[in-house]
Amino acid sequence: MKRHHLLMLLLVLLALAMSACTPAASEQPAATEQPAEPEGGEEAGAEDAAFPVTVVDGLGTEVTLDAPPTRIVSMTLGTDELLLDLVGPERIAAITYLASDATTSNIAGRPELEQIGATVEPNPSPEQIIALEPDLVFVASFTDATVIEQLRSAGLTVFAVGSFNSIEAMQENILTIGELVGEPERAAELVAEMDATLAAVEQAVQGAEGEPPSVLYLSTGGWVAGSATTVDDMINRAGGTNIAADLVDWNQISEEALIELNPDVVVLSPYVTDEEFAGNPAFSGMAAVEAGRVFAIHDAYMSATSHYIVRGVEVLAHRLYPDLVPAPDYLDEG
Amino acid sequence: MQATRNEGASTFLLASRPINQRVIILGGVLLLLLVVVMIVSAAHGAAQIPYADVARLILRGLGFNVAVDVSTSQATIVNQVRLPRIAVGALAGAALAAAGVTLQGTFRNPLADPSIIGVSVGGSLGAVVAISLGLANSGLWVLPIFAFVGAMGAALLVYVLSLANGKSQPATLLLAGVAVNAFLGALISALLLFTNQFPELQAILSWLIGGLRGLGWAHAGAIAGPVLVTIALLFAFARDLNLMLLGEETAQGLGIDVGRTRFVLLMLAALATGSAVSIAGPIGFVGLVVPHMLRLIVGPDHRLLLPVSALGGAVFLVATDTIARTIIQPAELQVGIITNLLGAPFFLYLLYRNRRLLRSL
Repeated sequence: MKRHHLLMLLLVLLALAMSACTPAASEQPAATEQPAEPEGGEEAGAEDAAFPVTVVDGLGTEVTLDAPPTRIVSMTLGTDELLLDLVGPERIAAITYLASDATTSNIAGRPELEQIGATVEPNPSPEQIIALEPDLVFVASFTDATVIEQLRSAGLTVFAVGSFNSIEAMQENILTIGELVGEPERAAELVAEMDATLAAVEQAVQGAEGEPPSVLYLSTGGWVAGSATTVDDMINRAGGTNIAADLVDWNQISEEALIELNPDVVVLSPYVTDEEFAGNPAFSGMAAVEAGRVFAIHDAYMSATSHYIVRGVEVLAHRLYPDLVPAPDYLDEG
Repeated sequence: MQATRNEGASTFLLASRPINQRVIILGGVLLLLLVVVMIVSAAHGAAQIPYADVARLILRGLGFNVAVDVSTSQATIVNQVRLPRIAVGALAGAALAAAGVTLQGTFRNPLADPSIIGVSVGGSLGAVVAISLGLANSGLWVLPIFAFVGAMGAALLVYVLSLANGKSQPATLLLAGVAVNAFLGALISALLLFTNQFPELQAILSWLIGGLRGLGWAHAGAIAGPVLVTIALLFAFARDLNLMLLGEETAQGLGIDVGRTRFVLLMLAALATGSAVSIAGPIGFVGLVVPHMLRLIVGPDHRLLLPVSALGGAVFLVATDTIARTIIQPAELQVGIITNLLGAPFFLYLLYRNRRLLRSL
């Protein structure tokens, strides 16, 4: 028993020693980088009088850059998509592995992706990110808080993208990021393009007759989009009403509750299997199924957190009103 | 078990009657209870349907020409959502309870349960391997086979680990179960980490969470065969299980090949567990709670305990799933949450009651 106690004590001491060492060790590269940074800052500062720039990120943290970033690492698909159109591939050091995955990405086939030197793989270790020597890192609000902390204590500038429950919130995020990377005009342009698409959809569906169709967005495992979700916002903008609007946020509901809701239209996430819905005899009597108004919409459109989210609205409107809204040329049944 | 054996046969229900009559009478009572629980379960949920209409719907489903006055959506909810789910729940509950009785008898350990000694997590690993290899969609029988192999492997591993001086020791068995649970759990986590395809990941996660959501008649059909055959075979071994309770030397002396019988029983328990786990996901403690409750009522004779536990397990899982399904509408809980909430305190109670037995080993 005594030996066990000693061993435990040793382990605890070792752990303490390591935790005390880590910040000290990681501060060193930061300290050596600091003299380098102002040099770059002066250069860029001459070009861009807007810097230093300070913005507040999605988790409420102030993020300051002294010069426009030129080695950006993006750890979220939403920022992959946004950055490619906002700053171009030259200033991106790494994007996520998801960016080239056609099932979730709106930029999968783009040739510029090949100019980007590195890919952030799933479950990246902070070391790999630090080794890329980025001057700005985008993480998600759901990125492990200890990873964010490690990146920051290694001297990196980290912007955590928030979570969104409306298209407007995404547009604000685009403007914020545009400011941070020194491209406010380009960001405003992207937002204006979004507004134009949304306005065109709104105008097209205004010509519809009768009650707007009730729509249910169903993801795998019985998750449905309630009110205060981006999908709710998209359904409304596409000229439908969200039949699950009584539920707030995303909710997992039972199969029989789905049957009881009985919407006019069911929009499926592509991850819903045939066994789960289309081939399930439990749902064969639903009005939407009998009327043939069940649609799977490409996840890249419905789940985007970038300016590409308007594609989701456009495709959804096309599904609800095929006569009023033509199929967009990018449409992929994904 | 030790305690109940000392209480004397006279305190058990209908103890004066021959065992065959007791099986028929008590089995009949539990079967009736199962039918009642099924009807009640099929009546409650998002749409409330009168018991009489549910009974008529079931009769019509069985081929009787009965008029039923319910809406189409209500009929669909009962026939295609609730009843198949209830059937799977009854089969899984029966399998897990029968496996529990068998493991407790084979190991002569009141704390043996598929979820405690690692058999369930072995089945989980088998299923997760099948899903992550993308094989799960090639047929409804794929998952049960993988789950059975995993459950069997885990059962043998725990058994070998728990052997000391050629005998399986109760305390060692539990500790070996802890180790196997942790080890196989780590393999599952590693597989999850290496599975980057979202659909597979989603399938694994929803399977690991468990529960009876989304199960149809096809699933019930897939496990009905293995579960019913296994329970029947276990019933055929009831007398051997009784003799093994007397101790290994005695059983050997009475003409039982202890080693081989134990192996066959372990195989059957693993098959039952694997079938249940492959469809319903890991559901804990059914094999512990149900046999112990019934052992208090009917006594330790496996010729009675085994069939009664199987029926009791069916009643228990259908009832707990009804609670899980209706308690937070329109959402639902996984039935494993309810069985674990009930089962874990019960396990601690058994541990407390058997502390002298465990200390002496």
